[in-house]
Amino acid sequence: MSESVEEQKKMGEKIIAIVIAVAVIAFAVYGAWDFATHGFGWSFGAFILSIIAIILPISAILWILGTIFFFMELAGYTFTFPKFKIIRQRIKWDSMDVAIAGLVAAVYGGGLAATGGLVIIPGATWIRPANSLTPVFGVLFGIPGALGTAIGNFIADSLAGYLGLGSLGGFVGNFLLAYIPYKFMTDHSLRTGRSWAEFYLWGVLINSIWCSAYISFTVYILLQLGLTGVPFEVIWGWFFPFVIVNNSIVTAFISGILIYILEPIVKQWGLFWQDRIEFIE
Amino acid sequence: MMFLLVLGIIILVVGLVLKFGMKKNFGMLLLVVGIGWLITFGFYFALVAAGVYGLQGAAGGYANNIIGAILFIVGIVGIIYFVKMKGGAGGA
Repeated sequence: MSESVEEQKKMGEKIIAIVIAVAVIAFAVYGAWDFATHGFGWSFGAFILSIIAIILPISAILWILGTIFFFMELAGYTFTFPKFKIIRQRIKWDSMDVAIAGLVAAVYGGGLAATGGLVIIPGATWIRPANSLTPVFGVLFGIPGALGTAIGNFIADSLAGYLGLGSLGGFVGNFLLAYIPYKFMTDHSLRTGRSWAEFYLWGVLINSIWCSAYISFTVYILLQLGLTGVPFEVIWGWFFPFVIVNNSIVTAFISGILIYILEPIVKQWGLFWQDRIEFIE
Repeated sequence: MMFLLVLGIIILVVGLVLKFGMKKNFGMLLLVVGIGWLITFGFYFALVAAGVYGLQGAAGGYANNIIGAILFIVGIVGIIYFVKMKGGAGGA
């Protein structure tokens, strides 16, 4: 009887995973198709601008939370999820953690710069297939992976000619891109329906929205301070929705498969984040 | 740009003080960020000096793409080398 209930529960999780995955993929594909066929006159941009009164405060909240998470992690503190509690953590930062961060930065930064000529918004962004690596680095390597992702994006900005004050937003935004699935997924294995559902929710959709909101709001602050010439309509009508679609379209199709293949290998190598971190309650 | 460079140097110095002066483990984290920050500026100044900073694709002689591809390969090879050096499968 209990086995039957367990089976039903697993089946239910699989159905939820499929529904979430299909919804997220449909969103990403429609966004990419909309941009490919209408360019900057796409409906996503017009829609975001029509609800900007809601988007701005939500982005402000995500920006504040993202900044708090970033500095908390730097200071050696973290929080538990889904039961929220602030705790201390100890990462060794030995040669292995340093090597992980450095090599992740090289792979991600190099991967981004290699496609640096495919410009979408001059001075702001380009087509970035290497973005598919961000949830992989976060889910597998934790904080060193997320930090490597942030540094990698910074390196890519300098190589692609986009280095500027907005890169500070890109630094934290890309940290969050890897950090959100690492922190909010409760099962990183991608061996269960629940794990896949969590991946599509946190590792494809929410991290893309959070990262884009973070960078866009940073550029918006710079605009308010007179430190950038990027117009308001470009930030929220083009950049904000484009970064979401640009991230989610590649992560939706590639990242999950990479995590599924690499997770047992990384565990076997002793590089998995859970084996290299200590939580102090 | 100078503000970003100074910020990177400050992060590096704070990391050095925390790691080697105060023996704080997370100083290494700031040290990693600081070094990555300065490597970024190394690329920036090299591209500016070569006159190709901000030039995309053919206009910049594909310099950024080539450096990016080299970095990517170095990263992948580095990961494989590092894992093998640590003892490979099961030996880490």
